[in-house]
Order: sequence, then C-alpha cells, then structure tokens
Amino acid sequence: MHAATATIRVRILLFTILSVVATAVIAAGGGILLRRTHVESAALTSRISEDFRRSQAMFERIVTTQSVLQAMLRLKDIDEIEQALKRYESAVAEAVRSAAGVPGLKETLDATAVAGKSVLAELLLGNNAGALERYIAQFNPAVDRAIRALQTENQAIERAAQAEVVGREQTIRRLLVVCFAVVAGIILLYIVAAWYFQRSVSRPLSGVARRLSSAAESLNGLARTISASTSKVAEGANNQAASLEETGASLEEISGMTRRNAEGASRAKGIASQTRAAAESGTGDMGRMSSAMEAIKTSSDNIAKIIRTIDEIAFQTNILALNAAVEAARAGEAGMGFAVVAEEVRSLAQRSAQAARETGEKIADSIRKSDDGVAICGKVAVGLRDIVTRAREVDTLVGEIAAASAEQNQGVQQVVTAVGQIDRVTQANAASAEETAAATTEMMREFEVLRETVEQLWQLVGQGEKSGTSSAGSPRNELLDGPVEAAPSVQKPQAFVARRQGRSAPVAVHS
Amino acid sequence: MKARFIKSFVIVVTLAASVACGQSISPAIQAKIDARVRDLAAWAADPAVVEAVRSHNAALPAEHAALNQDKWRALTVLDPIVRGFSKNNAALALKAKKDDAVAEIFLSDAAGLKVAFLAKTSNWSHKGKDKHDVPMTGKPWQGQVELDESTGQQQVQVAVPVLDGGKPIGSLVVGLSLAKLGA
Repeated sequence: MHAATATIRVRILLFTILSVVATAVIAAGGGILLRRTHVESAALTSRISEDFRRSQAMFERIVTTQSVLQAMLRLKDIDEIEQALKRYESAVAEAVRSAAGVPGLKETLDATAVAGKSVLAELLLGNNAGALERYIAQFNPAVDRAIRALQTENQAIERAAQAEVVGREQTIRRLLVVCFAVVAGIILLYIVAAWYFQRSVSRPLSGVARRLSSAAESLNGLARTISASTSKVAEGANNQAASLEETGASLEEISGMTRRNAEGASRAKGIASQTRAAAESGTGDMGRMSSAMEAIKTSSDNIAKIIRTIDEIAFQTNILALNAAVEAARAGEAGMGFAVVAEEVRSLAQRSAQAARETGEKIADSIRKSDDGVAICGKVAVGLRDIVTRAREVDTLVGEIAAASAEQNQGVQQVVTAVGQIDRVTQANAASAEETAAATTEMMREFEVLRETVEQLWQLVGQGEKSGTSSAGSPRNELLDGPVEAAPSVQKPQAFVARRQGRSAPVAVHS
Repeated sequence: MKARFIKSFVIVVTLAASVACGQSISPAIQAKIDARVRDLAAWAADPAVVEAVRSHNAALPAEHAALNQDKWRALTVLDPIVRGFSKNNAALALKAKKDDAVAEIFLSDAAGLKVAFLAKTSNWSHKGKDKHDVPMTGKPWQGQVELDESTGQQQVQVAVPVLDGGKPIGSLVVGLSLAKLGA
C-alpha cells in the first residue's frame, strides 16, 4: 500500500514535472520566439527609426540652415548678423557632417553650403536685396536638391525597411508554423501522458478502494461482533450484578447465620463447659453416691446381720416361748398365765421373726437394690465419665465450632469484601462495556466515514457506477449500503446504576 | 530662367510697394512718428552721441578718412572698421534706446560721414541727401514710406539734428517700421 502510494506520489510528481517541463518548454519556446521576434522587430524598428530620425535630423538641419539664412536676410543689426552667422555656420557644418554616410546627399549639401556662402557674401556686404536674390536663385534650389536627395534616401530606407519587414514576416510565419507544430506535439505528448497517468493512478486506486471496501466490510463485521460481544458482556455484567445482589443477600443471611452460629457456638461452648463441669460434678457425686451405696450396703449387711441376729433371737425366743409354754403347760394352772405370756412371747417372737424375716427380706431386697444401685452407680459413673469425656469433646468441638464460626465470620467478611471488589470490577466492566459500546458506535461512525471515503475514492477513480451497482463480493454490499446501526445499548448493572443514582448498591459491603 | 523670374518678381513687388508708399500716413501713425521724433531729439542729445559727433567733426580718424563709397561698399559687416561703428559708445548708447519699432539707426557727422550705426548703411556719406541736409538746418526730417526689400516691411525714415550748443553738428537717422509702430 505504501509502495503503491509512493508510486502514485512519484507518478504525480513525474506528471507534474512533465507538465511543468512541457509548460516551461512551451512558455520558454514562446518566450524565446517572442523575445527573438521582439528583439529583431525592436532592432528593425530601432534601425528604421534611427534611419528616419537621422533623415529627419538631416531634414531639420537643412531646414534650420535654410531658416537661419532666411532670417539673416531680414537682419540689419550687425551684432544680430554676427550671431546668426555663427548659428548658420554651425547648422551647415552639422548638416554636412551628418550627411557624410548618405551617398548623394553630401554633394547636394556641399552645393547648398556654396550657395549659402554666396548669399552670405552679399549679406555681409550689406546688400540684403542681393542676398535675397541669391537666396532665392541659388540657395533655395540647392536646398530643394538636398531635400530631394534626402527624400530619395528616405525612400531607399523605406524600401529596405519594407523588404526587411517582409523578410521578418516570412521568418515569423515559418517560426509560428514550427512553434505550432512543437506546441501540438507537446500537447499530444501531454494528452498521452495524462491518459497514461490517469490509467496508472486509477488502477492502483481502484485496487486500494477495493481493498478498503473489503477492509471496511471486515471492519463492519468486527464491529458487529464487538457490538454483540459488548451486549453479551453487558448482559453478563447485568447478570453478574444480579447474582452479586443475590450473593450479597445470601451472604447477609449467611453472615447472620454465621453470627448466630458463632453466638450459639459461644453459648454452646459455655453450656458444654457447664455440662462438662456438671458431668464432672455428677461423676464426683456419683462416686460419693457409690460410696454411700457401698456404705448403705454395708449398713444393710450389718442390718441383715442384726436381722438375722434378731431372727435368731426371735427363733430362740420362740423356742424359749415354746419351752416356756411347755413348761407352763407342765406347770398346769400355775403355769397358765405363764403359758399365756409364753404364748404371747412366742407370738411376739414369731412376729419378730416374721418382721425380722420381712425386714431381712426387705434388707436383702434393699441390698440387692443397693447392689443394683451400686452397679447402676458404677454404670452411671462410667456413663458420667463417658459423658464428661463426651462433654469435653463437645466442649472442644463447640470451641472449635466457635473458632470455626469466627473464622467463618471472618471469611464471610472477606467474601463480602471480595464481593465488593467484584462489584467494583463489575462496575468497571460495565463502564468498560459502555466505553466499548461508545467505541463501537464511534467505530460505526468511522465506518460510515470510511464508507463515504471509499465512495469518494470510487468516484475519484471514475468508477462510481461500479461501486453503486456492486453486490455480493463487490466493494459496495449491504454492509456498506445499509444504514449503520447504532451500537446496542448496554444494560447497565444495577450496582452501577444505583451508584450512579447515588444510592447504595444492594451488595453493600457489610461492616 | 528661374532667377530671372524671381528678379522680375522682386521688381514688381518693389514697384507695388512704391505705389503703396505714395499713400498718406494715417494721423494716428503720424502722431506716433511725431512722438518718436521728439524722442529722437532726446536720443540725439545724449552726451555720448554728441561727443562722438563732435569728436568725429573735430578729427576724422585716418581709417575713416581713407574710405570712399566704393571702399565702403566693399567692406563686409564683419570688417573691423564696420564693427567699430557699431561698437563705439554712441552706437552702444543708441542700441540701448532702440526698440522693436526701430529698424535702423545711423549717426552722421557734419559732413554726412558715418559716426555710428547699428546696421551697415548702403552709403558712406549722406551729404546731399535730405535725411542729412534737412537736420543740418536744425529741423527734423521725415521721408516717404519705403519698402525694405530684405524684410519686405514698410518703413519711414526720420532724422533729427545733433545739436551742440544749439548748433547742428550732425544728424541722427532712424528707420521706423510702420507695422511695429502701429502695433
């Protein structure tokens, strides 16, 4: 392209130089011809004028000589005669000297001078009448002859001038013919050069216009692609903004939940600690209860032993009552009362034995239950220890959960910050999308300018019809001919719009 | 042939002028002539004029004494003797008074011999001519109207005496151009 431009520039330069040279040649030739003609005509005119001036001067000198001499004839004052004589002699000498180069005239002037001397001879003698007579008889004829000789000389000059003018006219006519031929040749050369120049310039320009059209077409496609991409980017930014809004809302909820979780975890940690402490306290109490149960068992054993002792006592008493009844029965009547007492004692003994048995059973049952309680206490202690262990684990876990919740809260804060950054990036993307849209619009306008420029270029290369009738594959297709669409309006993200409207964005950063 | 024709033409013109001269001068011109005569009396009374005439009468220069009419006619106007007449004090005094109406002036002594002039006269002596003899009687003189052949103009000569102590010692002749005088 640069080489083609350079070539066109060189061609334009060469054509301009050729034009200038041709014009200069024509002008120089015409100028030289005119100058030569002018110089020769001026020389001829000057020569002829000089000849006529010299002839006129000689005529004036002759007439002056005649008039001075004629005036002298009227003079009587000697001083005036003397002065006039000097003028006359000067005029005669001047006339004779100027006639030196004119053949035929000098002789007549010499004769005139002789006649003048004859007149002067009478005049100086004071014979003015005689001088007048000689003036009329001799001097005037001599002057007439001199004038006729001068006329002859003038006629010769005129004939020579006419002959020279005729010669000059013939020469000028020949030069004009040659000049016209040269000018015609130069004009023909100029026409050929102009045709070659327009051909050599229009062809590369056509190629350039064609390539420009193709490039413009590609540029239009690229612009449309960029426009579509911009739309997608804008839509994506919009969706991203909406997602960011939802994400912000979710993050707000998550942040609340995280905060509540952290608080619950903190409370759970306290409760877990209390639980662990209660469990540990319960474990201690369970130990002490186990000890108490053991003491109860021991006491029950001791009571059982006592019961058994009592039972044995009751047995013994019963036996003794029986023995007493037997003895009372043997004692008969006397022993009747006793027998009653013995009966009573034996009833008491039996009842004691019954109570002792029942108590023993109760105590046995209590012991069994105490054993069961001990066993259960052991199990409870084990369970409590397990609970303590679990509570400790729960405490640890709840602490870890609290720490995790704090970290999670911190992470959520970081996420919110990141979302804020994403929001700014989204805004920047939206702005970029807007700028891209504006650039796309500008590109469309530039494309329009490019299209008009290409159209002008087509017109410049003289192929406007070709550009106007082109179809597919031609420089003028529907992309060039169709109206230039404005860049699709970019749907601005809400955050960007909200920020432009001065309100906080939905995904405001939590602090 | 042509010269003869021209000479005959000059003679005819001269005769015609002579006829014309016979005509009387108009009173107006005559009045001017009379006035000029009165002026000429004053010119003749110029000391340089009187002295020149007196000296010429007293002692004629030798070169003047040797002149006669033939010698006089043979002298050209450029001859030193002739130039002497036109360059002496009297001639210069008269030339200073001259105007366009004055065609010629010449001053003569008592014998009619030239004392001074502006133009060479035809005659060396005017003794015996009225233009000298009448003034020598103490009276002015006026001639007839004449045609100057060289200028072709009519003129009239007037003369007044040069007085020395009231006695005429010479004459002063002036030719007046009627054309210039009437202008």
